[in-house]
Amino acid sequence: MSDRAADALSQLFLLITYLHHRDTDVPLQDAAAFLGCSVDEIERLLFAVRDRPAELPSGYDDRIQIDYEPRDEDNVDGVTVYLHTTGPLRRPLRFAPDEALALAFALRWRALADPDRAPAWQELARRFELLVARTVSGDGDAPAEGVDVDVQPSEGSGPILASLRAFVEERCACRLQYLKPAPSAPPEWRTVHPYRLVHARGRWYLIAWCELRQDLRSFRVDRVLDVERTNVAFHPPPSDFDPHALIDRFGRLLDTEAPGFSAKVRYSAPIAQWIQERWPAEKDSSGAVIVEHRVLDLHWLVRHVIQYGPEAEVLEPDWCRQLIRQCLEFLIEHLELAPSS
Amino acid sequence: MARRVRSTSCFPLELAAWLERNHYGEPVHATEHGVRRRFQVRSIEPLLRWLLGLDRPVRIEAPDDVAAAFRALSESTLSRYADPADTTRPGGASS
Repeated sequence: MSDRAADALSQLFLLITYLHHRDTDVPLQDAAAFLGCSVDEIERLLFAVRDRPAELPSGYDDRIQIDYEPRDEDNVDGVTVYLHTTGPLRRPLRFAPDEALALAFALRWRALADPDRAPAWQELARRFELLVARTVSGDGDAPAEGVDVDVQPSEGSGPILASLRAFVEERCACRLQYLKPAPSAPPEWRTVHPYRLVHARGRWYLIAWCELRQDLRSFRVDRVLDVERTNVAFHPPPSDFDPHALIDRFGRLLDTEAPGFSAKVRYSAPIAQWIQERWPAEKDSSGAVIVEHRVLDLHWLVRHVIQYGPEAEVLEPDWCRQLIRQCLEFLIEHLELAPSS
Repeated sequence: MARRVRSTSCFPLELAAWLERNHYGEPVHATEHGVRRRFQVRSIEPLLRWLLGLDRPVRIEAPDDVAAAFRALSESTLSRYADPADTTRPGGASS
């Protein structure tokens, strides 16, 4: 194996992809055979992953976990490695316009340097250029930035997603057992008329007509616990139905239910970089950022903010601060621990 | 590479199907009060933030130091809301 960083990175991508697709404990020797290198070199790649989390924004380090017990001195037999991911390797790839543009340049350059395979490189470059052109021109037919609509579910997306996709294609009403985000709310069954599957901000959503609400609704697919076919006649989508119109330019799914409210949240410097990639943010001199969120779901805001612990704080409105304080007091009361020292 | 930490948490019953459906942790067993799941993680910080972000009464049953860390995270988050927000304070939440 070469010592060049670019080669090591290439090997690392191959190793991560290989481990992810095996989806089981993989003997180190198998991984080494796959990459055509030694077990020592595989360990070196794994250690590179291990050393990386300290440089990542809060929350990223848990997206890919590698379970690996260091081997004994002379015994490499039986030492295995298992890669777990919460989803980054499963979802479709998404590129910001500048990323797509950089890739298009690189691919055009590659085509010049590799005449034998130039058509393949050029075709890839053309796809990225098209993405950039659509995003910049605001072409109404183009997907919103960072959003994929009706992308073919990848292997491992689960039977629920596959069933929903079938119902969308068959234009068949169905019943969902859905876990609502509201605290303490039990799962409930809803009859819906599925229109489109949308992948936004790393999650799958079903956009459907809800019989209960008599309106369009979005359902997070990971919150769908069960789905079954019904004999209810399909309620076709309105003629002007456009899934892209339900997604803003930052890839957020817009609910059609409530007018919502505005909330200001301050994120501390250690997580500011990550936040800036997701929302337009105002940076202060300390490196902290303030984001003004348009909130359609109060429970979303509570969950979103407290997941960052003390690194995020709602500044306004004050009634929202009071609510979060009450939520945290309730949660702490239920910890049932001895008082902390 | 850091050793794995094994931690057991008890979740409200209404989350049982959701946890199982998304393979969050491994099932231990359910009681009349909740459902237990076991997690194996290299770093407890992301686990604690995830648990807190569920906004549900979750109890970490073991080990004690992880439970104590969860309480500390919860209380430090609550401390942000003890007083009215100071929108002029530089540095924000971590200062």
